[in-house]
Amino acid sequence: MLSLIIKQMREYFRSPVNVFMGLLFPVLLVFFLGTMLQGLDISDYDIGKIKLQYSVSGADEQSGKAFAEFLDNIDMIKAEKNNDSENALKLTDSGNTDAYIELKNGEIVLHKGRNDIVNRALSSVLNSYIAVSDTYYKIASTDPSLLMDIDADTEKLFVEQEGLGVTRSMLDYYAVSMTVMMIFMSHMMMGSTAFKDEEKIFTMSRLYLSPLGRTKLFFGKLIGILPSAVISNAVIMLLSAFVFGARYCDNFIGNLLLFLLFSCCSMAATAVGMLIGIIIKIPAEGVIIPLAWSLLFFSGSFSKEIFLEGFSDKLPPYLIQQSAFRLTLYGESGDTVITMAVCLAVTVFVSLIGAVIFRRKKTV
Amino acid sequence: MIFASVKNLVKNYGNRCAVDNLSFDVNEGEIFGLIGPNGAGKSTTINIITTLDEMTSGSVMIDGKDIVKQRAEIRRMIGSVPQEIAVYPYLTAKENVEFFASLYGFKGEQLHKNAMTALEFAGLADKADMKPKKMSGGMKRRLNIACGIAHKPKLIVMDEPTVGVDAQSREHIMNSIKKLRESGATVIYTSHYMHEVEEICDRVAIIDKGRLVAEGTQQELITMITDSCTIHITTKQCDSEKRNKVLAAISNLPDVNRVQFTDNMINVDMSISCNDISHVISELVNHDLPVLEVNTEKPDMDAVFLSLTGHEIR
Repeated sequence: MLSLIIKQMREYFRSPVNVFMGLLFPVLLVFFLGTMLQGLDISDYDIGKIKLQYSVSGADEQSGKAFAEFLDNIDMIKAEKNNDSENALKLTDSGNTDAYIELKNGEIVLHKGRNDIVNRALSSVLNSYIAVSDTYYKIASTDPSLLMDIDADTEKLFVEQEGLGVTRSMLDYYAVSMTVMMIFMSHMMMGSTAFKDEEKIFTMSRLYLSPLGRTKLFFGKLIGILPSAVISNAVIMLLSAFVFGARYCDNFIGNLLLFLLFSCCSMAATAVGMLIGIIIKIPAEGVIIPLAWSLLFFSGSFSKEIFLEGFSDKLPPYLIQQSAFRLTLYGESGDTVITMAVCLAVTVFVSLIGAVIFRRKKTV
Repeated sequence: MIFASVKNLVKNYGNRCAVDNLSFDVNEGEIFGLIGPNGAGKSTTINIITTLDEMTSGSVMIDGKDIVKQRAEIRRMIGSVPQEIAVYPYLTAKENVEFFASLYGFKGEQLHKNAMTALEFAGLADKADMKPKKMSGGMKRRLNIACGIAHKPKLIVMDEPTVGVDAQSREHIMNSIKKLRESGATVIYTSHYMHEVEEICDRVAIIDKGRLVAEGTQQELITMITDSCTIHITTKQCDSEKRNKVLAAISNLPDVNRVQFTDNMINVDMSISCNDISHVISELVNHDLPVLEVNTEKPDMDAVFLSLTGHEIR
């Protein structure tokens, strides 16, 4: 078995095609896709500047002034007073302005525009305003002297804005998705051609003739492929990180777990590939390439924009990617552990079926 | 002593019979030739002997072991040299040989020693670190042989091991196979090249359409198709009296069936079993006739094959 493993590794790493397609090409793709598509990484939730019209009627002068000041002090809002409510509603309806707000007899009415996210943002802003105003009113009606101590500095940010520590780029996205891609394209292919390549160069008959036995031969080949697959994952991760600056997890344990996740996935993909390889009679590429491409395409490995609700989220590459992203972005390892367990179970189940079929397979 | 025994071997593929009741024995330490045209059933027979294929009926015993019941033990004593070059292009010659020998349980120093011995045997010791893709066709063929013998098998099955090689490599391979016999191995050898079979095989089995046509030494096979061979002796012209004396003298020699003397040429039909023609030559010398040239016209294995099967081997 050890000699089979050593032989497999020598063959893999000495073949210029394997080295290029299995190691260098994916790393280059991580870099090129990551940097070229960086500009497309614009958040869907960036609502930009909100243009709105407002009117004040039936309210005291102080309340109207306070409301206008309030809107004025919000950076993201460009408010314009318009007492012609018919005109303001028309502008909102046609999309020329994002919303129209009426302060009428102490009540605020929001006439929503076309953008739902803007509408929700304005609702929140106005609710906050009403809550604060009510508080002011209650304090003023009980002990107005308390209002003297309130800092009325509207420039001050009362909420410290901090991210989740998640500042990731397309390079980081492709560093993960490219490894998943390699697992399905390259490692599944390696499994499927494990015996077909031996048949192509006529060495299969020598292997059959050896006293190893079919079961040992099957598992020897499977185990023999794994180090090459695992090393290829490691090389992609290391080169992406240290040469192109891609980020995976923030700590060593996370990265180790991610590497183990990819290794388990490679193992399962190789076992599935081997099973396909011994069942089909046509060249393995004819089945594996369309299968892997379809799985990866609908899983969003090529572009995160591709997602079919209820379908994509059931596909193995998607599930692997999601657990990898959960680990890299949020440090959540629950999905990773489950995915690894599933991969190990798939490996055992599929390889046992494969070994049984291989034992019964006719030699000539 | 019989080393491999094939008895009533039958192999059917669906309705097609590839091997039809084939029986032959291979003696220990001999080179046994298996010849026949394409589709004759040679490869099927070899695949069954080497445990690559299963027989429909019959029995094959190797070194007293049943090929069906003791498959694992038999595999340990068989070395196969397939017709195709079955080596890994990205491993060096030594790595290839070591890998295949390691499948038979060889490790460490013993593995290294066996690999180097096999490479030396194939004349590739100085090319141990060369990869097959950089080797010539002949060198690859020799490496193919080295990979099949590194585990020191008792029975070596060679399926057309000289296909497509240059004369020098063929000569090397022929000598190597003879050396294998000298070292005590038993060899089953198939080839399309009759002169190779004539050169190295101790005994031959001719197979056609899955059936055994004939089996025996080359001499035995030739005897099956003819009982005589012709010797053409070129001498000088002489008078009729002397000619008659010479004709009478030679006609009375043992193993001589018929003699003709025309101009300066004497044609002597002799028994095929005669291996010595010195007594014929002596008669000419005794009658003061010079021997300028001697040619022997003897049926070869091609003629045997043609005569026994009714068609040429190719």
